[in-house]
Amino acid sequence: MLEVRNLSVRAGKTLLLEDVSFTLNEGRICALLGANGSGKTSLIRALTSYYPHYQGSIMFSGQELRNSSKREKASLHALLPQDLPQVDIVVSSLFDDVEGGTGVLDGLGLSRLAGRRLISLSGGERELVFLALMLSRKASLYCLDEAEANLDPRGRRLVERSMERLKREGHMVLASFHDIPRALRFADDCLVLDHGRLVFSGSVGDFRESGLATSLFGLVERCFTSEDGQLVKLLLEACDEDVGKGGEA
Amino acid sequence: MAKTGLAVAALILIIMALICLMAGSTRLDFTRVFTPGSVESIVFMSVRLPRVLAAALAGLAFALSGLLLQVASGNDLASPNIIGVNSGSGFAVLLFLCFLPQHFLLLPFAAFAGAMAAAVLVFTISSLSTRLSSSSSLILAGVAVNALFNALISTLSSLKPEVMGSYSAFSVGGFASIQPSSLVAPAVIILISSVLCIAIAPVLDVIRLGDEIASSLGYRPRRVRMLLSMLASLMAGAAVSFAGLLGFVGLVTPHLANFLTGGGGRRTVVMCALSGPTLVLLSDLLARTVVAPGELPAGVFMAAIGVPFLVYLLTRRARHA
Repeated sequence: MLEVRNLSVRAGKTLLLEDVSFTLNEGRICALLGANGSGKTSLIRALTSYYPHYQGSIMFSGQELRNSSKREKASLHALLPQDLPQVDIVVSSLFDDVEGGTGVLDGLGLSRLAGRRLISLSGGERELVFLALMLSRKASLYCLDEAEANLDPRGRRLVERSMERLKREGHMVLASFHDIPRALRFADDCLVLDHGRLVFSGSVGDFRESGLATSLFGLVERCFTSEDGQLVKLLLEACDEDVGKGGEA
Repeated sequence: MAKTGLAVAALILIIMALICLMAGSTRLDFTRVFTPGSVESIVFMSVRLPRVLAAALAGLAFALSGLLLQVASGNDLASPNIIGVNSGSGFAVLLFLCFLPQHFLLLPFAAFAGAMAAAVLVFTISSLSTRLSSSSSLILAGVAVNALFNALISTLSSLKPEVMGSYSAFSVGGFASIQPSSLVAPAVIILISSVLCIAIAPVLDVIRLGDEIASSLGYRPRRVRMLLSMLASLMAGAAVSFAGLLGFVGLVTPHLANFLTGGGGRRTVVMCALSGPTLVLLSDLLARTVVAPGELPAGVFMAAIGVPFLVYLLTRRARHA
């Protein structure tokens, strides 16, 4: 379990996160939502030891992150960052010190990339290579920072399947998204940030009921009847008129 | 495959060192090299061997220094020249030649002190920046310190134009007047640092992946980058103290090693440690044979070899980008 209490992070004079508190549980996928600049990347960085000097507490199963050793930190969290490194090395070299070597690439159907140089890959291919690198690590919490931004539909499905596998294996998954309807389709919980403050923490169902999808992201829920008579609820981008109605849509 | 590549590189280095030991304006009968008091013995032990050792040590130090700086800065164009280590060292040498020319034997220590002073200045300035990434701030601080020391060099050379003769040979780099005694301290520093570099190869791999991934693996990337840069400055300063401001080897060799090994891992560090001395030995061999019995600075040929290769690498990268 991950318990974050009163977390605040500064970079110089800029307050990146302010008094953030929430809990993540094992075996669940949590979607991290928020507008650009809301603090999603800062929160993921804070949870993966990027900011050594934070206020508040980040407790992994009762163990404070800042007091953990290097080896312990490596076993607590694994990361797929938003900004991927452009390093001129052969992809298989990334997996030299990984248990099982490039086997994880094979498992994702990416063995064709093993012999290529990282800088020769497209943005999406590079994303998948670093997804494989993240999956090759044994950790409690897996963080994915806008992992689907560069991916085609097949790549997105691969990311989703990977997250679902981590969930089945009992890990915690925290993934930031801009495609909110997509995130809500397979996430169990969600955190919503606004200007560095946490404005929602709870289940996806509660988020749908909260009206924040409309007030923060301009989305409205619409009901459709499918061909077999089932009622289907979809979140859609709202027009100006819908936004004016707030959460009633 | 990787081990074969390293074995071939080691063999090429040994052959190059042997050629350098044999080549020169005086033809040596190698059967008499180990005869005490013979001309061959004197030339070999007091001229050829120190020169070959100096070239190999300088190549080793600059190559690994360049590799460490490229990893630490996250910038493939980083080298001891970029972060101001060489210009700091050059300024210290010029200062020394202006005010203490009679203590010529202390010149290597002045070069070393200048390199370290520049490094400390770069790290202090870069640590003040919290908004920039640590790699960007290090490079920007390096550019600023470089500019500062180059301005000081220009000022000093304008005020004391008579010392520029001694300084110009130092600024290009070479091994024409190597004193065996000047090699001892730098050799100890360079060899210990090189072993350390090979030992920490896995850390270099992690830092290359960027601050976020390195942090997630439990490293403190800013601190590691600083330590890597200090080690790089130590090695570059040690080499500058006897080889002068030999450029390009620190920039080109890491790319060559990366190209030959696929990049990453201990094999790249070892390949760098083997290729650097080979390149400098080749440059020095050309420097003293092309216009024999005259001699050109080794730095001239280092640039002649390095520039085309660097252009090739940049165009190759541009095709991938």
